[in-house]
Amino acid sequence: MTRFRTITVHPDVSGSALAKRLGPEKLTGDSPKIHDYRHGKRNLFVGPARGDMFHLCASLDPRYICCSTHVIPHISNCPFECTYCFLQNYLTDTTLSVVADTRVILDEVRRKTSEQPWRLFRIGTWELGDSLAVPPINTAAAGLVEGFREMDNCILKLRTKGARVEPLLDLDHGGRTVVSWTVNPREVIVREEIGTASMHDRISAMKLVAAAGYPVGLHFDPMILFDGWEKAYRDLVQEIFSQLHPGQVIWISVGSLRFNPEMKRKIEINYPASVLTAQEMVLGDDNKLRYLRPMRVRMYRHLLQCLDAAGAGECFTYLCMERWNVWEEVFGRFPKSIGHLDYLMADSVWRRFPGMVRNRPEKERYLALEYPFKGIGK
Amino acid sequence: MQRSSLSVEYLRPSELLEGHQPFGFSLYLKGMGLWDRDRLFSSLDRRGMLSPLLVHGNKKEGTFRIIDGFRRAEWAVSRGIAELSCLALYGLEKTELMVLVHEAQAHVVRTAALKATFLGFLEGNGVSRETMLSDFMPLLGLPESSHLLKNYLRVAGLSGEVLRFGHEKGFSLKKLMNLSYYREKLVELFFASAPGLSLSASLVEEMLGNINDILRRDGISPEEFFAGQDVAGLLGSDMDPREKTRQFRQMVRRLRFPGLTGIEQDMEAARQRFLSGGSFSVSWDPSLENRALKVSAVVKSPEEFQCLVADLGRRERADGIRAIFSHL
Repeated sequence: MTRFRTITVHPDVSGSALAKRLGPEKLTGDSPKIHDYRHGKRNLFVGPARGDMFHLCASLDPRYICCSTHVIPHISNCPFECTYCFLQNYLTDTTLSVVADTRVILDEVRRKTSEQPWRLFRIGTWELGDSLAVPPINTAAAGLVEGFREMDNCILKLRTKGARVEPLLDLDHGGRTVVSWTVNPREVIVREEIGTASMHDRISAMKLVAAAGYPVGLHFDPMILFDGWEKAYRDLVQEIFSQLHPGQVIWISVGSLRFNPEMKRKIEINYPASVLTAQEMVLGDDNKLRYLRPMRVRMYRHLLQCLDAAGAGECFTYLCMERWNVWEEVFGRFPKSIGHLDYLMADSVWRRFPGMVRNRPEKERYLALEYPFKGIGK
Repeated sequence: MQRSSLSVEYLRPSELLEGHQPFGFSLYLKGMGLWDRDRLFSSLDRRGMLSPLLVHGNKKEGTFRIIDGFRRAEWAVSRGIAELSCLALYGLEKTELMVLVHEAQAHVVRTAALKATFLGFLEGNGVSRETMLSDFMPLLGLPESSHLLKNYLRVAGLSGEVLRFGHEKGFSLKKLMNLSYYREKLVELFFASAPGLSLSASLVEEMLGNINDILRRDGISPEEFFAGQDVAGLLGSDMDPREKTRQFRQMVRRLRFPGLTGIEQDMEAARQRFLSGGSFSVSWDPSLENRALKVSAVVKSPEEFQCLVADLGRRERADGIRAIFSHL
């Protein structure tokens, strides 16, 4: 906690468990509303929940296949500094903020998910920050873990590039929380994921949570090109699965570097040594720059081969924010709709992790799910 | 409040032009090549000087500095005129003097490039940022925003050549800001090539952005890029500026997007070989993201339609479509 320059607690949540754990140096008041991206990372604000806290992932786009994760913006901004992070071009108030009203969040999740008791909701806290980066963020996550224990049609998804999992280990999580890691080769972590845990430490933390009974999620996203990327990703997969049994891994997502054109300049200003933005990329329909499609397909196929070779072929593996034709080139098939992918994920959990899904997922119900659009836009 | 005094003085133009010129904003414009000297001189030759020079006098030292009238003074020197009538002001403060300088140049200082140049001129003359914000931003038609002022002053640091180009092309502040992020040497070398090229604002943005990315990706300096055999050979040729620009743009694009341009070439070759000469056209998403071909045709009669169908049914057409799809 000493890493923060200031810690401010909103008076409405001064009695919360999270606020009570903070040291005597904390201030009381409203968010300092910092605008500088880096400065905001060093100042913590613990506040109440504001507005609706439960919604679909903002990446949803009809032209791309989306896993339809739901999110609760429990955290905003992140103490780590990934050069490619979209937050540097997104947040207006960059103060690292954590919502202390765990009960309010849980009530809203419970109310909204109870409307579709047959459905498995995957709910992440990482949309605007790292779920477990440092104390007290990781202890705040513990409150959610305990709250999700009784929600039998929900899975809480924590996602991190850190290794601070201690507060989770002794919790009664009821098997309803997945602890996930964004993973990348050492070369990427050192150059582009500044301040995050090493892969060795991440894997050690994976083993700890797996031993504590949590399913583990893996996100090879964003995959990044550099000289020697093929060997580096092969070594990475081997390193992970030499320590982790595929049966402990609930799902694996794969995606490649992408960012909107406005971000390019931001990255170049904030991280002049990074050459990420100088790579060959094209602008997609969703206004995001990505590597050329043939290159992405090559990267994804390579990773799948590595996963197969490491014995992880049984894990449910999907592409994040990719087009149907890329799915087809990589897997030889593609989900027919966003609801279809939602179903495939629920079905995989039902088969591979007995008890996490109450009833066998009904395909037709998932296919009939209504989104702002239907089907995959081709 | 102490008021300034004024008098009419008859001064030697050659002496006025000597030494440091603290109010010489128009000399900045001259340095940028923005003086239409011939036009003004011929007007002065025809009608003579219609208005006196405006100068600031220092009574103690007996010296005068031009506030408005540098070009008229140069004309007078070139025509051998010994004395000029000048309206001399005394006892003005720096800010007041700069307001007068602005008034004299207000008709010129309209583009973002020249507003930036003027603010840079003020800063060079020790005008504080607070005064720029309160007194000069409104005079320039700008909001009193310190962030905006910071951006204008950043742009003012661009070379005169770049600012002149930005002025002539009517670049917005945002476009100028974009130029200010590139390495100084890159911008300098690019604009050194500009006289032989036919450049628009968007072309400058595209090409500089692409070259900058090439330098960063390949770890080479701007000097190395522009000295490269292909680049130097093309830019040094006496080709028509439009054609030279087209070829330079293509060259930069090929270097920046080697994968994409390679695939484009293959697809274009397939189109030429298998799909040309018909009454239809074939196009695709140049980003290669969408796996779709657009085949379009206009028919004016049922017979033309039958011919089109027969043409599309030919084996080489199918081969062409297959060849293009192999890249999509």
